[in-house]
Amino acid sequence: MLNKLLQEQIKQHLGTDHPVELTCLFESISDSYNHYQLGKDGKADIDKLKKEIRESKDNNELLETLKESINILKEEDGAALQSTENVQVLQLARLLKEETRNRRDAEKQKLQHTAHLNACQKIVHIGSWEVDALAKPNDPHFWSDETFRIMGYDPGSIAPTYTTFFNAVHPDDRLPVITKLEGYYKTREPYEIEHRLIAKDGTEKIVRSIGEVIVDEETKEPIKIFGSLQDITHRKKIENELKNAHYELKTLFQNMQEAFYSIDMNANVVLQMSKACEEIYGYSADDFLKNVDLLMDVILEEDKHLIYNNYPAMNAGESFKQEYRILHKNGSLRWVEGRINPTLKDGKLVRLDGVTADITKRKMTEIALKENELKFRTLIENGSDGIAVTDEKLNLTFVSNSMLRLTGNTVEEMIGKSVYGFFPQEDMETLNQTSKALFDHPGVPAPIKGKFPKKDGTFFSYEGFVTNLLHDPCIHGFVTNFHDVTERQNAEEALKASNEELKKTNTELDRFVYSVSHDLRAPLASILGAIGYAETETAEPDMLQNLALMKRSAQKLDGFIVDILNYSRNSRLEIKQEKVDFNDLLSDVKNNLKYMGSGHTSVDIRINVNKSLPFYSDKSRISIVLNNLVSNSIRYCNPNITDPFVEVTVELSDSTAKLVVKDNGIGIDKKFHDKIFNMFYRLSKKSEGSGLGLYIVKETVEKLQGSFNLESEPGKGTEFTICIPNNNTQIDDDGSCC
Amino acid sequence: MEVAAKNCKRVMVVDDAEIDRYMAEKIMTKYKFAEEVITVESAMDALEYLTSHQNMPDSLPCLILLDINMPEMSGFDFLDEYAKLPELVKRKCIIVMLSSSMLPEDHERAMLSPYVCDFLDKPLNPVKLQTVQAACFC
Repeated sequence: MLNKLLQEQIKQHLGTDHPVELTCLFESISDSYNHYQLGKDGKADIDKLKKEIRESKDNNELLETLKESINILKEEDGAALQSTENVQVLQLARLLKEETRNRRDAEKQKLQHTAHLNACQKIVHIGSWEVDALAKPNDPHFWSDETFRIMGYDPGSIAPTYTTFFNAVHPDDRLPVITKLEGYYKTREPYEIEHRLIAKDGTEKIVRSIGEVIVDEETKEPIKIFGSLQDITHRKKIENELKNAHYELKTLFQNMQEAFYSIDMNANVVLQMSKACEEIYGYSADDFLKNVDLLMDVILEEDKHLIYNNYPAMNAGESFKQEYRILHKNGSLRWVEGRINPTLKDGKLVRLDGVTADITKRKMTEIALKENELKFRTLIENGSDGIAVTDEKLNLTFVSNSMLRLTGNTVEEMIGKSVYGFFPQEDMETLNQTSKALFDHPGVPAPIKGKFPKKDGTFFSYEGFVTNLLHDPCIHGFVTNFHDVTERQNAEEALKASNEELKKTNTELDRFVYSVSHDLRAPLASILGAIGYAETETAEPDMLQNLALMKRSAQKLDGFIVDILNYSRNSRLEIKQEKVDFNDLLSDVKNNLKYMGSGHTSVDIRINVNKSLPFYSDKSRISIVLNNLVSNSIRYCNPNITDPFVEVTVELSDSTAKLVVKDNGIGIDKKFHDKIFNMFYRLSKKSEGSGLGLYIVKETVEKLQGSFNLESEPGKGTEFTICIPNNNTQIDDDGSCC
Repeated sequence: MEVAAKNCKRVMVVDDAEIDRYMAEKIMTKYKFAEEVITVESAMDALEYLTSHQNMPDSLPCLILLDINMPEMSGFDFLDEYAKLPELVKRKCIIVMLSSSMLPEDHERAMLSPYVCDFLDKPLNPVKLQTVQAACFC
């Protein structure tokens, strides 16, 4: 403004015609002009100015105007030129030049200061502000560039007011801020408050706000309020973190289950001991602080050497770890793990920092585990069962001692080797099938048996199970349990062989008995045939009687042979399960017995089979039973009656066959009922039997799992009832239908 | 008493025991069971006879009484060989077992043969001849 004024004055008063001495004045004026107008209208046109001055008509007017200008400039300094002062134009111009220079320098300096201040503020994140003391909320505030930045604005981008600031204060902090400011207005004491504010971009910041009132020296009334705003977000954050960390550390220290302690080795005192010592040792931290030896005293006498052993390392500044036992104040024994970190100074031990942890539980578990493992290992190693573990590729990862013992191999010869390498070629298919089944059914034991080669080339027989435990994190493999069954198998084979031998012998014996009996019977039959023929060739009574005697003896001998044969057959031969047709069977019996010799021919053999049901049993044994019973009935028929008969009734059901052999013969006295089934027991003196018949009946019925019943009365007759189970039904009936 | 077999002139007895051959011949002769009784002491002799007379039907026996237990070739072995003879021979002859064997198996096995008509327990007597007559020639 000043420059424009000057310019106008010069234009007005100097005109085009100007003295040479005014050159300096032009320069001064243009300097001033340049100073103020630089960057606005460009450099002043000196020539134009010179011309204008030259054209000025009234030098006095110019002089006055220059004077006035200088006075305006000097006014502030209070050194105004007096209007009466006779000053030359040139002098004035020089003064003006000087003043302008001074001012320019001052301006430059001020600018420099402002830039400096701004830079400083930016670096330390402190902004400043200023406001008239009486300003209303919406009156403009002065904010420094950094204040703008802290508030989230580009410097100078808005016209800030108190409201702008207040709205940015965090809602939760507005009350304390207002309280503080109000108090400050009253007391006019400088204030300081930390609060949060929300910058324009929404970020939350913590700031420290300091304010001071500038008071009029004379009136003591506030003129301006001046303050600073410091962004302490980062510092605050670190502070908080530090605080938290400290707190956590403290909590940790107090709550750690391990006891932490430090010992000053020079003064030989415990510097600190954490609270956990109460739990571990039973002694308070104070106990330790008072008595440095307590730490060593609580260690079990026999474990102290463990600590002493570490002294050389400790003295060399090496930290160490040691497990040992202590005696708790309550008398219990505890396992602890001590870690000690020594500090040396000039090669001398000055401080120990240690941590003691209660590891009783872990130790006990460890010991239990060790014992358990030892137990299992002992079991596995000493058991006769072999145990082998393979990985998923069937390579052996573990073999028990018993397996090594059985195979004769060493550990090196088995571990890491594929099981395929051990089995003979012919077992490969079985092996593949088994492993497939195992992969398909994890956890399901697959039975195995076969022969395994020993180192010496022989084999042992094994039987056992393989289980796929690949999924088991402890095993991660196939586990095979097996035992050596060689001896058992040998015994079994021997038993089988001897059984076969016995069977063969039995068959041979049977065959032998038959051959012998045949060889005995054949001549007897010949004799009987010859006797029979001779009887027809003579009418001589004596001869006939002799022949009859011969015949009876021969028949008795024959009966005896048949009985022995039947007995041997019943006791040795296996029971057959075959279809029995009682009609056929009984007609055979009838046919067999109808030639039982003279005197018996008159006995009527009657057969009743109630119905035809499929019946399964041992045909030849039933035949023996019926033959014996019917022949007895014929043999012991009552000679005094006219219609001797023997009646065989068969009642079939799904479960049994009930056979009733009833006669009207001489009968048996009750007192003999128990005895007649005994071997070789004969009731009648004139008996033609061997004394084996009923014994064979009893034995055979028992063999057929049947039952029998006898009812007989002398002179009336005899009734045998036999029940034989029908094996068709597979019902294990005891046949007790009688 | 006569127990003549109808339409049966010739009976062959196959038995290793001389007494049995003798008794059989005696009884059959006595009761006029057949006109002629040929006795052979082994199954081989029997086969030889049958083979040598296979083209002379009139000379063939109509009944063969066959023992089982014989040395070298048993009655069952004979049956096996007999099966190989020409139909003509087999049609002419009826076989009846005559044995002292008590083995039920023997009895069953014999009766399974299509050529065996009956099974008789020794000794032979007129009653048994009657049975044969009834069972095999009626």
